[in-house]
Amino acid sequence: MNNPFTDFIIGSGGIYTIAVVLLLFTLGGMTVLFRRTLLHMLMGVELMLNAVNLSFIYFSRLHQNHDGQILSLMIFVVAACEVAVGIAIIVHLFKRTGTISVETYTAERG
Amino acid sequence: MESSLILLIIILPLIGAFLNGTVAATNAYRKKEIWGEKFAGILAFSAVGSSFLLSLYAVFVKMSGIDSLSFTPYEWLSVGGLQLNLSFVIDHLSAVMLLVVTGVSSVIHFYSIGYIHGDESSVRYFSYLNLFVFAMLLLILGDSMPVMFVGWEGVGLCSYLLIGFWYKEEEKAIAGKKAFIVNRIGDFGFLLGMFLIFANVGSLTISEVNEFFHHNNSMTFFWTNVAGICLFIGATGKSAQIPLYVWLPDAMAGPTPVSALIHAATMVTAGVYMLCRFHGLYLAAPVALNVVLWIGALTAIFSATIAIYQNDIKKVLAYSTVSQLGFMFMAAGAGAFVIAIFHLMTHAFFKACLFLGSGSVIHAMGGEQDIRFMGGLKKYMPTTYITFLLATLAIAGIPPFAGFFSKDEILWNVFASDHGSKIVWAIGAIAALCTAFYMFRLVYLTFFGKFRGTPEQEHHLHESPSTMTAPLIILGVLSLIGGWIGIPKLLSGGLIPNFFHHYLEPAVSKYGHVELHHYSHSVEYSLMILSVVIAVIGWFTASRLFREVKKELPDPARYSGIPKLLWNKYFVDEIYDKLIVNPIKFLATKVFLNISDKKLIDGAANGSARGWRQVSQVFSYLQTGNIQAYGIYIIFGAALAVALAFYIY
Amino acid sequence: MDFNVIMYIFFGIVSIAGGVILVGAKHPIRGAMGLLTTMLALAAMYAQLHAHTIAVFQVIIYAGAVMVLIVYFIMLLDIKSEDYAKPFSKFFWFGAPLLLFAVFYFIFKLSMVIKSDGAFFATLNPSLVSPNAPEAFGGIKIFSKELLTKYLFAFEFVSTLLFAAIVAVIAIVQLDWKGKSNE
Repeated sequence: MNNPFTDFIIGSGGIYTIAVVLLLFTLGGMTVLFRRTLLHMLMGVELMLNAVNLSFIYFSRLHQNHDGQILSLMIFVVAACEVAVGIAIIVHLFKRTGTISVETYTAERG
Repeated sequence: MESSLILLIIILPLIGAFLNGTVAATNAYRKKEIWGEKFAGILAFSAVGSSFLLSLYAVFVKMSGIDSLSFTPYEWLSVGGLQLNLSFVIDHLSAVMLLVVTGVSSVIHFYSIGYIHGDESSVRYFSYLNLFVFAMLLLILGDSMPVMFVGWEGVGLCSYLLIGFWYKEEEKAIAGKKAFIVNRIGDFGFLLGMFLIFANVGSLTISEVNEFFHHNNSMTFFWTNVAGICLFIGATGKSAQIPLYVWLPDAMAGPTPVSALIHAATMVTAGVYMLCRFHGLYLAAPVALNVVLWIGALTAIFSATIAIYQNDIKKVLAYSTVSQLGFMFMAAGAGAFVIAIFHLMTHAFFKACLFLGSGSVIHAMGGEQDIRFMGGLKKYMPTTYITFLLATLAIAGIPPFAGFFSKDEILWNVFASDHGSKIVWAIGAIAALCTAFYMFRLVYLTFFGKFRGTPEQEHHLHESPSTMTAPLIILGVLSLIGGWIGIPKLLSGGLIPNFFHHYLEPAVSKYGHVELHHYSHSVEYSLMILSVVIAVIGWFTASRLFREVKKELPDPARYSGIPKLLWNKYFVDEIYDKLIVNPIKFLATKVFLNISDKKLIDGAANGSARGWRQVSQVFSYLQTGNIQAYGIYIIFGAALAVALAFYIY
Repeated sequence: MDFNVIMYIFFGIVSIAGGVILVGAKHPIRGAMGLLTTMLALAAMYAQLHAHTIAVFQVIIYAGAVMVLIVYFIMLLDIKSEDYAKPFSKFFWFGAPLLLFAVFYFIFKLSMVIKSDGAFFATLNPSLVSPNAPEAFGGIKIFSKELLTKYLFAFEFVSTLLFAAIVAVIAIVQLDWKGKSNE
């Protein structure tokens, strides 16, 4: 007999976890799309990456397979790089223009 | 062994061309530190010369007792049923051409060392010359039509490059272009013929094509003749026959050795050679053969009459070449392919000699080419005079010089052959008369009488250096004895066999030959005597008129009547301009440029551009430059895709 | 109901709450705190899902390093401009409801499918599912072994990405220095 948590994971916990993933992803996406500062966009991307990580870990557990975990480690690295470079760019832009509002940067308007 | 021999024969000139060509493009040559023109000339000469020696070895040692050597370096392409090899074959026909081409080429390369001395781009010249020999060998030895066509185009290219060798002078560049364009018209005919043959025969290998037409010709009579005529159109372009002969006289703008090699001895005879290669096809296409006969005869008389009134020494020789090529086509048209090749060979000897002699004369005259201002050169340049005279006797058909045997046999075959005709024989006889006349006119005006040039020209007159006279002597002697290998049975009474016939017979009569009507020996004798008499009449008339020119020769501008017509070459160039070139120009500028190009195509292009700009102006409102807007587009696109997926499933 | 299950659900709700704070909070420092909450809650969920190593990394790298960098950056620049006064762009009021509607609709559809069979994901490919995880699963020992053998190439490859990021950051910083010297 399995313990109750294992039953939950295999059973209805799946839809719950996926719902959490989708919601977190959407919230992150909303941050990226609707907040007006570059800083929030960066944090939104972090949130989206985290949401994806959760789904990886969940399925890794479900299938008793380390692939998902290792992939999420790779995502950690990508996220760290992204934050480092992103912050450097934002600092640079802020020094040049004095603002981090997204609407300022419309160089490629058609 | 045999394979590498054939490959070496072909590839040696290419190596020479490559070495000289790469050096000509480098800086080292321009500084003339490493690669002097003498070295380039010797390299080119030794490449072709060793090719000649190898050919001699191949033909006389390797081929003794066997009919052909063949070699296939690699499979060119294999598509469906078409298996095309890059293969070469030396049979008795191509062996004769091989020896003529490499032999005459070596002599002319040697002559060029002296002739081109001092020219700033002499290395380039030798590179082109070697490349020409390579292309010509491809043409001769190629076993299939595409390989032959590669050579065919290659010699056309080299001809263009060498006619326009002094491209800085505009008229020479234009002459090169004219040759190229006119040749392309002919090549188009050749291509059409090739397609037609491939569509019906399913093979492009020459022996298979001949076999097809000889044994199981499933093509209709009409299409067989069309194929023959298409190939002959190619030949008219390359070999300067009516109506495409106009480029050859202009091609004299090139250096004289080039005129001798390409535009007299070898390249222009490619058409005759091609006809002989395809004799299986032509014997199955009597109408095409008849066209060849008549075109040849008309060209012979047409250009022989023009040559009478020309004053440029090289122009006379050029029209003479066209006329002699006409004779070769007459022979081919009468089905006497052996005789055509025989005349091709003897013509290569004496015409090369004449051209090289004229080059020697021009060299001595300091570039002057007009015979009205020459005269009396006999005592200044004896070697040139004697060799020139030998070649003239040969071309005029005086026995026992080379030209007599071949030309007499042509006339006899035209007279007696099933495919020949008496009218064509008469035309040929008149053309022979004209030939003797204008050639002796040339000799008398150039070498006899008093000198009519300026005093300083007279002061400069000198015999050419030995690098130039040695080839003249070789070719002069060949003009004398070259015909002796083909002495007709009748004349020798059967004592000396006709070597040439005997040698070529297996290659050229493989697919049937044309029977001669039976005439008594007296008819043949009388015709032979008649042709000698004709030549002597021409000689005698020229001697009476031009041996001692007392008064000044008339200015061509004041000619009227027939002389005017002839001096202006029957106004053919003008007629071509009016009938073909100008309408095409009109069509090109007025119709295609102004209406279809500027209005239709440009209009369509500009209009569509304008239209799209307006459309995209609308869409450019979407391009706000705000990155979040773009993100929203992506998200909604994805959402739409997911919604669609839901809708479908 | 099992305590573990309750905690799992609880942490899920907490992470979503953190995400809502990130989207809604005016000042970025509050958003950053929301994000931090999310990350910690997710770390707990990872631990429950037998991914102990990843849970530790989540705390150290994300909640530790990355968030510290972001928070430090917010405090360093200390922007008091109107950028924060008006948090949402003009797309928010029509885009956000649409997006949320789409997501809830998607979840609804998914639950409709799953309703008939609670173990939907497990039944997708039953052969892959093994209900009880061994104690060692997700531990540092077995995890490292997998990483350094089966995934060695990916591991090395991702390290070059890190290196490239370092070079990029230095290049951008140099851009600033050059700008200074030009002025």
